[in-house]
Amino acid sequence: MSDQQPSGRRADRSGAPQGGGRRAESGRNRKIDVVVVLAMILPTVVVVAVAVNEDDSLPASTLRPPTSAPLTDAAVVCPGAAVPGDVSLTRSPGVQGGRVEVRTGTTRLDAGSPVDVVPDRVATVQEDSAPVEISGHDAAAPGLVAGRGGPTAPAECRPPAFDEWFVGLGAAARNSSELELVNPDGGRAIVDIALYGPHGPVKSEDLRGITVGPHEVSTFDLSKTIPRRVDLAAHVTVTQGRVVTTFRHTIDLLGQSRVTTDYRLSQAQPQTENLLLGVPDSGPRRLFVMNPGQDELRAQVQIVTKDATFTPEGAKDIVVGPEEQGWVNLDSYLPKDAMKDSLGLLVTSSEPAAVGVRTLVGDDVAQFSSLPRIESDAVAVLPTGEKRLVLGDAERTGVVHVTSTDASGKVLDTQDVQVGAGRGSEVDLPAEAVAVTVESRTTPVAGEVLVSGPASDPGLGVVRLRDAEVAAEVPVVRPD
Amino acid sequence: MPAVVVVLVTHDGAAWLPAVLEGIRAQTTPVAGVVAVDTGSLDDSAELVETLAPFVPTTVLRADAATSFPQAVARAVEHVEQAGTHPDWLWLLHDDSNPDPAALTELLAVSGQRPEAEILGPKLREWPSLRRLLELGVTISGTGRRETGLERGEYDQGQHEDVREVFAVNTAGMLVRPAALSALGGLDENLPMFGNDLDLGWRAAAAGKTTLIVPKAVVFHAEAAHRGVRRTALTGRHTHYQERRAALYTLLANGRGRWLPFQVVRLALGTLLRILGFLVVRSPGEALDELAALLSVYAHPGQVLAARRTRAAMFRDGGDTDRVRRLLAPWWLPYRHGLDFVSDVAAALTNQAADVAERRREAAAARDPNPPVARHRDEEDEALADTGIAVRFLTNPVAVAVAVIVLVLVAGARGAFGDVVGGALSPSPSGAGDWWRLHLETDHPIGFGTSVPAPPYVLPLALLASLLGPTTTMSALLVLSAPLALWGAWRFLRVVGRLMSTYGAPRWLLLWGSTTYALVPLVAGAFEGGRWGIVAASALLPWVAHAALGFAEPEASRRQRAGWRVGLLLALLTAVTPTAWWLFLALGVVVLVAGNRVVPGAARDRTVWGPPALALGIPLVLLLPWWLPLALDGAFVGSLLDVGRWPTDPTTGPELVLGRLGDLGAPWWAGLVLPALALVALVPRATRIGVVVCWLVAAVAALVAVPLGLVDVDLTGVAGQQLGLGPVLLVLHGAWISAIVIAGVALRDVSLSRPATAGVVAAGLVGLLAPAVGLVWFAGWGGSDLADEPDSGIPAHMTEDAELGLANGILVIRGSIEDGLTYDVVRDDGPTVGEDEIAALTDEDSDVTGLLTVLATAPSADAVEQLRERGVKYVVQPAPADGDVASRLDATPGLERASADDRSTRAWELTKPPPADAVDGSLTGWRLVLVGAQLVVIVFVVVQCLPTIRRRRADV
Repeated sequence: MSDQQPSGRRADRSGAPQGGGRRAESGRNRKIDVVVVLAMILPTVVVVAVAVNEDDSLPASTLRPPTSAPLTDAAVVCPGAAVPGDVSLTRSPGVQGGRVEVRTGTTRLDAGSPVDVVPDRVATVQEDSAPVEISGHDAAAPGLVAGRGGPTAPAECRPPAFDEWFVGLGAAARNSSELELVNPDGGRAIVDIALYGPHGPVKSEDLRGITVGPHEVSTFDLSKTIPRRVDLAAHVTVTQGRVVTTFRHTIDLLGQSRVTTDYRLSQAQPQTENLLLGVPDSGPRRLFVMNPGQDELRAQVQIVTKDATFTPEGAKDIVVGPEEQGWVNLDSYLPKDAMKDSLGLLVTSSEPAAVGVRTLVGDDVAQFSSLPRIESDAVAVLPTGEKRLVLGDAERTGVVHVTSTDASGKVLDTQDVQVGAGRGSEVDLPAEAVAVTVESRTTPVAGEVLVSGPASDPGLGVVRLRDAEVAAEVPVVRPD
Repeated sequence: MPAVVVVLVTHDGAAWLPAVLEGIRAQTTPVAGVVAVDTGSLDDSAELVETLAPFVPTTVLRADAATSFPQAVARAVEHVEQAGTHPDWLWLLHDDSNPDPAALTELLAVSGQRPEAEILGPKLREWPSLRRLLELGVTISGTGRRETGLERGEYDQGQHEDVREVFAVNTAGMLVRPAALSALGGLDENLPMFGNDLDLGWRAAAAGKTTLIVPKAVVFHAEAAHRGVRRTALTGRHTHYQERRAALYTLLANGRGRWLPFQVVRLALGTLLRILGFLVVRSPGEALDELAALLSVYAHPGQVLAARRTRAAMFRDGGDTDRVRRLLAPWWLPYRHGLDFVSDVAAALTNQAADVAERRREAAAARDPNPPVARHRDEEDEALADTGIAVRFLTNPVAVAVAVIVLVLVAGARGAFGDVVGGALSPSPSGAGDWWRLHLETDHPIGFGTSVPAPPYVLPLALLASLLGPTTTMSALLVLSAPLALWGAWRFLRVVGRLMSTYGAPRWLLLWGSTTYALVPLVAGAFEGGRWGIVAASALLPWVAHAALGFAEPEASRRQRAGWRVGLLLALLTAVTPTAWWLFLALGVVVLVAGNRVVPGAARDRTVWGPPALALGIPLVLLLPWWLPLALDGAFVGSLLDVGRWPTDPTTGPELVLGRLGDLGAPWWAGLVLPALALVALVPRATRIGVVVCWLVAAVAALVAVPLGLVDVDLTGVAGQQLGLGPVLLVLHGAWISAIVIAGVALRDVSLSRPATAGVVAAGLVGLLAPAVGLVWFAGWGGSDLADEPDSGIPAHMTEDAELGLANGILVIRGSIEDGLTYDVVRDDGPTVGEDEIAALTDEDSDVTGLLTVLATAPSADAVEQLRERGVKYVVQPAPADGDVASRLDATPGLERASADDRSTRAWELTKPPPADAVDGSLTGWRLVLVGAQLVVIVFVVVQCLPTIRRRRADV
């Protein structure tokens, strides 16, 4: 260190023989004072300097939310009908609308006649069974909403997704799911499907690397592809191109010669809180909990009412091993009458989970799945029939404006529904309404419409509220 | 009794002649006559010789000053022949060679026993010292060096007493048969002053004549011409030139014909090497002499060829080659001399400044009329000075402890054996050429192209890697830094100890201090975190400090030399930890200001402030090709960061005090030992000044750390990187260790009260904790593995293809639309050491970001074409890939899905490969000039730093 010079000089003196004389002695005394002062000051300086340096801030968050831009391309696919029904189309409010292309076909989607779709009107595509692809470009792209089918099995028409979870599937002769993959694009698509049973992953090589040609439809009957008697869960990953995945579930009721089919609803990603609204308070109801993680999962079931969310007394944790799908019968799992006057269930888990409930309502199979949150105005196309809207998952207290219209856009009913955090709300909609618009200005919510079948065909249909694609998300891009 | 005529050549030899003449007169065997040739003396040499006449028949021949030695001898021989005396022997003497009275008797005695001998030579001893041996016969090595086979300055203790055959004997005292001399054609007139004896010896050997050395005959020789004491028209001022010219001529004139072309090349290359050697020891005059001698001989090939023809005529069939070969110096001798030279330089280098304390004391003593206090030698030195090295090692517990500690340090660093990567350490490039290229290029083919200059350490790494290869270089840096730091700290602390006390610090204290210091970067977590700059800096810092002690030298020239040395080492230190320069700037200012307070007016003395200023200026000059383009490129922040791959965890003030880099390193409580003991070190009064100085250094370091620690900078791809605190940590802890050692020195001289003794024992035990915990932790956990390297997620076949061409870039897109996307281009073997920093310091190119945004939202064939033109062949989305982006890219014309090892990785290949010249590094003239100037300045500074080696010539 370059500082040794003074020390060396003085050291020489201090190291010199003691008989340094008066001058040296007095000189040393004077210096010692300075040295003692420095001996106290310098450590203090060090302490103060390091104390100032208390910057423990972690690097700024690397998450950058996307910005939005006009949507220029949109595609929505309605799966093949579980019960025959035409496809109805509309748009979310506030968009311009325009002519959309329509393709239909059971194995290959062929171009049909274009249809004009504008907000506040419900247009119809006359095709009651085969899958239908609706695509719009530029002004015709934003806000496209579609629906299909009758009250007991309304189909969910969705844009393509690349990563989804399905629970409560079956591959047995009388309890079976049919997989339908629709490729809306001009390039081929490749899909990987991983199946999980109650004891872990189920080998399903036939469902790995499924190639779906351009504008083609592929279907697989799980009871034939991988016959199993257990309930299954599926993780669908699209590794190339785009695909809309649908599972139709059919139950053959023993001794009643009645076959009932409905759709299994998808979940975009496993979550630690899954809200299932509209679950009936009685009857055979099976709750499925899929644990995709590598650690054991413990889930609790809470009951959502219009006043609060509470944990029923005596309900034990549901324990699910890694990569397993567990299930409980709510009838035996929950105390009797625990769900009386309830609006649904909230399943909370220690690890992210995919959750769903399969039930029979008047011999009609129905499925409840985790509800996505809606951030903007949501429009749903509905079948005719008795129906009610269930809302939940509000972040704070607010008012939701609900407008029911008929096919010509005539407003049949408007209601303001109070929502609040930790509770649910419910409102009846006019039976003849075919579209409902839900506007929430103050809080995001989640919701679904429960449609009851007529007396001739009793049952329950579930239409989830979803955000329509209105704008394209432009990611923040930066160098790594 | 054989008749002997003395042939004495004189030239301005009046200073020695009286003694020489007395020597001739005093010979126990009287000489038959003296024939002296005076070559134009300006003094009274000739007259002096004539004073011999009353005792011995003497003839003085006068020649002009241009007469060479061979000519003078030839003239004397001619005179003898003409006089018809026909002596049995001629005895050649110089005017500065004084024969011992028994010299001739001994020579003749041997000539009687060995009648085959036609040339005999005496043992030459130094005159006037009389004891040192100069020559006992000479030979010549393959490089033309005059070999005497003696040690430098070897004393004559009767160790060389055998009569033996030699290659040649010096003409001073040479006893030669007149017939033999004329048969050999006398001395070669092309060798006017030097080397003619070797040439004569060579010819004699080739002619099958025997030359003997007679050690019992002694001649004292002043070597006046060789030493430059006497200048003649023939030697001029450049005796070295003459000697080399003679050596080259002798080799070329006498060497075997077949080997001549090889010899010509070898001597030319050898000369270049010798020139380098002379430059290294700062003897440019001799270097020029070397060059001039080579040019002089090579410019006159006719002279050499004529000489060869004469010799060829003299000896048919090439002469007695066996004898010549036997008597010439062995082939390996020049290499041994080279090795000796290198080891001399190395020893001088490591010893520089080591004796600063001694010299200060001597200077103080010179000023002080009182007798100085004698320095006690270490008792170990005394006791074991004469025993063998193994015994000395094994009986010395400190040496054994050092060896064990070094072994533990090396074993602890086992994670760095072989290919080492992890944390802040990027992979090494595949060859040293990559580093050279990085240093020379103005624009680098990194990412989408950048003009950020190569970091300063790339040049030293390139130099090292040219010898060791890049992988071994990085391994060696990491593994050997700790032992080097230990060695450096030992040497530094030893001098500090001697500055504090005439007895110096006890060895166990030095061992504690140096071990604790060597562990500082290791327990800080610099090793496991891959912060290799800090690890390397820890090895350099004590040497910088050691060199900086030279600023305290009493002699201005030594202070100046210290300035050069500190400057060079500081440049290296700055290269691996750029903030070190700023820290030393602050230290320099504070110390100069403080020094001026202590010794008023000292700061106005240029020889006091000059050397530190020089030391601070040298890194600026040496590292110009780094910081100048860096500043011009707007990336000057790179000079304030620790080197390596960013981001690195931030370090807070308390962590700095504990000697930990963020969350890395050994258990934190062990870090309390040093600051606590450094505080306690302020207690002993005798050493308080030294300890306070250490605390001053610590305080400056802590203050410098404040702005460095508080400022975060955003780099490309790195948000909130803290500035470089590595050097602060090292200096802070180094200062504390020095303070503790200085306080420990006080313990040696004082007797303590009981409670004080207990306190010292307690402090000692606590002090032991620091190195003990550090060593155990490092050996067990700290260094076995560097932080894991995350998998890049790029398919292997793409990585391989990327190494085949710079244009085969891989565009890597990470993240999601929801959370933001990041992109990066991997070229060649990916970002290696040095390239990582360049990439991070390169500003974002908004065009590229715009292009990538288009690709992620609405890709088109046009965007793909732009990628192609920018040298991208593959696009990869490592898992977890955003499917929205992937599906858009799937639908984009010009991109084709490629296979990936991991099913969840998405990869594409452009259907049309990029043009081969899409990206390339560029060399520009000004960069080459800058780097060329840098290399020249480095050589200059290195030469200035090298220790002064004045080799005393043992040869004539």
